[in-house]
Amino acid sequence: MSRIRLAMSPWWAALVLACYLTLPVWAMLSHPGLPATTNGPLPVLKLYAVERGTPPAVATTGERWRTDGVWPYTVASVVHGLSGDGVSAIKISIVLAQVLLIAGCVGWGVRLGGVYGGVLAAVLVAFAPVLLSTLYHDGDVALMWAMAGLAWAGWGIGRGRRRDAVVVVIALIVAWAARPGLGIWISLAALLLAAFYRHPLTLLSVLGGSLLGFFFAQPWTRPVLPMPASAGVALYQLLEPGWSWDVETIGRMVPANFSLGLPLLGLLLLGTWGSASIPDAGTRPQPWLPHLLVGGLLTLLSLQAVSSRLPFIAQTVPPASLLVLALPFLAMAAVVGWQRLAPSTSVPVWTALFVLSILNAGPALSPSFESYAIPQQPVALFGPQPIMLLSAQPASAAQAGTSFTLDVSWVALQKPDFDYNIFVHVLDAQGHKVAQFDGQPQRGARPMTSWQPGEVISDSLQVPIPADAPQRLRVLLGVYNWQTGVRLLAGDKDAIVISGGSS
Amino acid sequence: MKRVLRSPALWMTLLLSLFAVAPFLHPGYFWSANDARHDVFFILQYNLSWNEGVLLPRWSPDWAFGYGYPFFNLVAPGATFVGTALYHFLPLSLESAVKGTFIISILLSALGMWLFVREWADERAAMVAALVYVYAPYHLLDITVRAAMGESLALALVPFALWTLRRLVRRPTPQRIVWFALSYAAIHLTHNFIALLSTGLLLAYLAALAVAQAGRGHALGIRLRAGFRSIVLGGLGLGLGLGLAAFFVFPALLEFQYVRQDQWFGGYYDFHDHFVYFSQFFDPRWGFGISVPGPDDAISFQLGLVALTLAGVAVWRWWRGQRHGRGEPGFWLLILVGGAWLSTAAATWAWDHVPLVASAQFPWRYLSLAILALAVLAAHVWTPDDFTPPHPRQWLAPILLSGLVILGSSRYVQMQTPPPPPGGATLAGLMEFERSANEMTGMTATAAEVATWSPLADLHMAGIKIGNQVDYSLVDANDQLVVDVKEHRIDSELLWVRALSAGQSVPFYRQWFPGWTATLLDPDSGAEIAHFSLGPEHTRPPYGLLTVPVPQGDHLLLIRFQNTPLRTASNVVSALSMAVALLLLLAARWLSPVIHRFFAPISD
Repeated sequence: MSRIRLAMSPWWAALVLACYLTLPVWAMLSHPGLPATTNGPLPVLKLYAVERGTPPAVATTGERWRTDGVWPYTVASVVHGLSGDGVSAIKISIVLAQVLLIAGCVGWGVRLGGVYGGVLAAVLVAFAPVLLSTLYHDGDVALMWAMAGLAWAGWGIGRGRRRDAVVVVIALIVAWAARPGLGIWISLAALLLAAFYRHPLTLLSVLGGSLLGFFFAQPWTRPVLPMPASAGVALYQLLEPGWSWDVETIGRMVPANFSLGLPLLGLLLLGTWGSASIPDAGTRPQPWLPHLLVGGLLTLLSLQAVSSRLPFIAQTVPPASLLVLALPFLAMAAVVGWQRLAPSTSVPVWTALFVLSILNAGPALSPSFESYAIPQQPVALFGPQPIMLLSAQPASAAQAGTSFTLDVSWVALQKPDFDYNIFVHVLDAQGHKVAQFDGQPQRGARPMTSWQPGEVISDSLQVPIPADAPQRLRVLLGVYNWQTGVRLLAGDKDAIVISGGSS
Repeated sequence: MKRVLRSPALWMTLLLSLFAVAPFLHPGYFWSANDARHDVFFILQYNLSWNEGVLLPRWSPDWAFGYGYPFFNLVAPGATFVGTALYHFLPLSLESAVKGTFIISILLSALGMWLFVREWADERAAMVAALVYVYAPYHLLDITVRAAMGESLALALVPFALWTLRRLVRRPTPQRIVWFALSYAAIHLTHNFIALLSTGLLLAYLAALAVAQAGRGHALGIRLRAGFRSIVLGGLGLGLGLGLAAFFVFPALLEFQYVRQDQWFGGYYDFHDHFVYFSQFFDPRWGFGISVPGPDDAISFQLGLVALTLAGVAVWRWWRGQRHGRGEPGFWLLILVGGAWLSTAAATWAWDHVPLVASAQFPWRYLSLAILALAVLAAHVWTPDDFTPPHPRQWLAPILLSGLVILGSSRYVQMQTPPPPPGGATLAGLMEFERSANEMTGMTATAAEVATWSPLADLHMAGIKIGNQVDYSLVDANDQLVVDVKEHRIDSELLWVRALSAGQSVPFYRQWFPGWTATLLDPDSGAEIAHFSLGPEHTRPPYGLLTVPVPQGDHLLLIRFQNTPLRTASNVVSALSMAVALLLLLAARWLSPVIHRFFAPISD
């Protein structure tokens, strides 16, 4: 009997419905392969790095605030250990983050707006274009986990009970462990919200959770590196209702989306009108205002016009991430406002609101996927805007009188700003050049400035070796600026040895 | 019925369905849709038979490059019948007749689902359910992308069968037995697989209704009796329906063995390559291609985000204890899950081992069940309490949801209308299509090879009317045989034959199939000399075309495609069933008390 009561409790009931309604978001991850995001195979490489005991960073040892924490990859690693491949493990980690995000939003929303309000809040967050863009355009696993932490922290804040305080502490640790830079902003947002409720225990739990998260993430162990400044969100991007009509699928090939979604914006406006026009019946102030304030503040800070004047934002997070963090706060404000505006909303009307939110997601529910072999670690990273040599596999041995073929795959971690040349040099024992290939990737079909971040570019480089070449040959591979002849460094070397001994 | 016709919700439903009709009012024809060319040629062939006075033809003359094929003996002809009627009796082109058939199927879908749901729910809920059914992506796929004329018309008839079955079980009358039987028979005559599918569905629904009829609070014996009576009633209707359709069903089932099976189930049609991936149920992408192996089909197998949302909320309300409509949502949830499951690779075992499952040919055809269930479940978003007490504002949510249902599918209500392919909707176009697409080249069991062209196709391409189907290339090469064709029809040929020696035979450009007979007549008196059935031994390789032996001397030879004993028996069963149906209708006044006495619901 108690089990039945548990199943029928508002949170469980709302969670079941919310998980079902958000199925279209995470069910897409059952598609074979990885989403074709700007992160490409990086999440899987980070997973392998964590499994080797190194930080989840590929280009460097990591950066203090903006590098992913170990948490998303530790979860994936557990899954990887149980069964499956790295790709599946990462996808399961994302699904877990999403489910936890939805569960947190449901709990948070049920407390503020009842069962249907909780479900609506979760749906508004899950189907917001900006969140789907984070997932299927950026492939930002850490942000998804940080969002899950934020949602649970938001749920825990405001009740002042001991077990809620524990939830807040754990949630904040997860947020910090997902990415320290996000941990800072989530802690600040949680602190602002907790200040409104004025529960000493809640305030303590936020402070404690933030501190524990900070020590858990250990950001001081990583250097502060000059990171390329990320542009913030332009106002028009924020106010766009959804996706362009010509977009049919989402992935790195289409621009990122920074829209909160027309349903959320509409409900927020209606809710604001509802909350502002209807006087409070009780003595306690409505929670609509603090949610709107925190969400609004985060949104404001994410704007390009603001973030470009506040450098510490870009030093800690890409400003657009703040917009994602604002989502649950704004969703809660919308739900509370709607509840006040239309307290006797019927189930079919609630259903219509769910449908509206889902339909607004549009092509973001059709992500592109790609399948490729991901090695345990990349072969090399060339240059400061790292161009990753994901794999380099000779198709045949370098022998005199044959054509040497080298199958390579590249990934640009950022969009290259120059059409670098690739070279393959075949050298004899004295280091004299016997044969060589110099040219653009894919024989000029895919110059580097056409590469999208995260895209895997496969190529087959062929070098005919003269018949009178010596038997012992060495093959080097590198990248250089064809205008100046300057080679891009891979670590401290200007070329890597493919075969025939060390360079 | 008057009450139904006066319902604004019904008219609103039909009006709102017009957005799905709109693409068919577009000038041009959707030539590039999967089966759009098939549909045109179905009607073209059917109409040729009508022109010769054959109302229900079993033999089509121009399939397989003119060698013929018993297409409508094997494939349900209902939709083609409707299309041909439109073409024959209205000033419509072949293409417009196809479009007209689709328009009818769309409006019937809305009407059928509305009537079914209205039977137990509010008419506003019925409106939403009907629109969910009409605008279900798989339904639109069937119509505008696959151009599956038979399947879409059959899908429109299934709700009628459910409606009439429900009415029959809950308040039996002689007329209701007939209405149910007619709707069930109509499905059989419209699409083979949907008939099979709906048989299972109707049996399951009958069982569910029987359980509901058994009720609660009565003695076990009374409840069992009530349930049993429901089963008997439904069984009577099903039996009568099957009897009405017997003239098609039994020959189709039992004579399918006489055509080449590999053309139906092999190669591209291997079902293992066409399972739906789980993510595809939710992927809102649309396409106008075909089903291909893997998760990236060029067409959509989504269930529809709006329908899934409505169904989810409905089931969730039911699960939470608002169990209106008794067990109906539970039943339809099972159908939804079952239909979706059968379309995925998770059901491979069932496809490989359970009889009849693989008759769907493509796993995604089971999505028909899923969309039916989704539509019915959508109506359960409302509980009776939602409309009590009545208030004009209660129209707000149904209209809002109806709009969202249409909006959700608005991107899919479109059609591609490229210019006509070479030959268009003519026999030359059919030959070109058969050659270029390797479609409609069905061969019978005696064919060792699939034809790739024929001398008859050359004539069609040249626009020359076929005057006979005798293989004169062989006759002319044989100095012992003289043949003069006296009469040529689609399903018969009358010839004057002179065989100068024994052991001669007349070669035809016609495929063999059970039912072909030969009659030898005296050329002077017309008296019958011999009559025999043509079997596989009367064919020649490689295409298994007919070769009819003739004795030495002058004769008239008549070959005809006639009924086999099986077809004759099936026809008799259908005629008897029709008589029973008429009797039930005409004698309803006298039979009603009897029916009521034996089959009265437990509540009565």
